Amino acid sequence: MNDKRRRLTRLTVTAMLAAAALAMSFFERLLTAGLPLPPGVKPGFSNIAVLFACAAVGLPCALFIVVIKAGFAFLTAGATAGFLSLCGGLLSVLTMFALLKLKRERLTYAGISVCSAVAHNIGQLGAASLLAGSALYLSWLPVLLVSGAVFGAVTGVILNVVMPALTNVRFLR
Amino acid sequence: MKDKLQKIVRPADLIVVAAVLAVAAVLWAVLAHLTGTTAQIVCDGEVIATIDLSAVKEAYDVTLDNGVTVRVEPGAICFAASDCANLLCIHAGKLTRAGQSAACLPNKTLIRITGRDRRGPDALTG
Ligand SMILES: [Zn+2]
Repeated sequence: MNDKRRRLTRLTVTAMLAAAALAMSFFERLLTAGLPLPPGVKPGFSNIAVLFACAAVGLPCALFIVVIKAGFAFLTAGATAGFLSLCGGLLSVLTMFALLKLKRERLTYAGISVCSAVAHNIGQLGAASLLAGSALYLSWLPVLLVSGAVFGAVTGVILNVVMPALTNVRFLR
Repeated sequence: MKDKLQKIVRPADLIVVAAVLAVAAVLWAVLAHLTGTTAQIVCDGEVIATIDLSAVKEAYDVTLDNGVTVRVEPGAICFAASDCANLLCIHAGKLTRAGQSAACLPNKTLIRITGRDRRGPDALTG
């Protein structure tokens, strides 16, 4: 496959994954709208798309999705939500990228997903504390750690299950 | 079957989850310890008193309308006297940390220490 065609394929897949991430975020919002979930606690289904992007396509693709997601949050929920989404997303992607490079043979996507979900929550909480000008939100960290561990494991296991079916996308590397 | 499961999760994944949960538990305990200073007295579902226990210098008793006596001490609160038959409330002893509570069910009275006091975050930054 020549370079030009390869780039085009990557671009297409990136756009598709970004759309999938947005759809999952939107679906998640509908799903959890009626639930009495504590602030910051959410399944993070779009994490599946981001982790897949990072693992199968590359870091730029994952970063692109994060920026698109932050833009979506900015448009639908305001500047603060956009900023929080961006901080959480960036930290999350950098964490999964580092882990994918590092201990790939020991951790499955489940472990990587847990770490990136936790990083996402820490990033958001850090950004929120920064905006508020105090460490007030730090008391919320234990809740978000547990939430990240639980939902990160769920989305990671989902990716472990579906990844074999998607292995033919490996040529994207 | 076992092979399939190993593909879905590996020991390292479980260690990661356990480590995160352990950190959360330790953090929660530390934060609860740092911030557990506000006590509430609840009668018949209504909060009738909120006391900052860290500001209490000397122990004193509060006698409620229903005859229950609550003792307030620096950093602690407990039931001191009650006309109930089983005295479970008094046996509950002193409450000192966030999340703890004791109740006198016959008198519909509850004491508890609430977490996330406004002093907590300051204590952390300082
Ligand atoms: Zn009693």
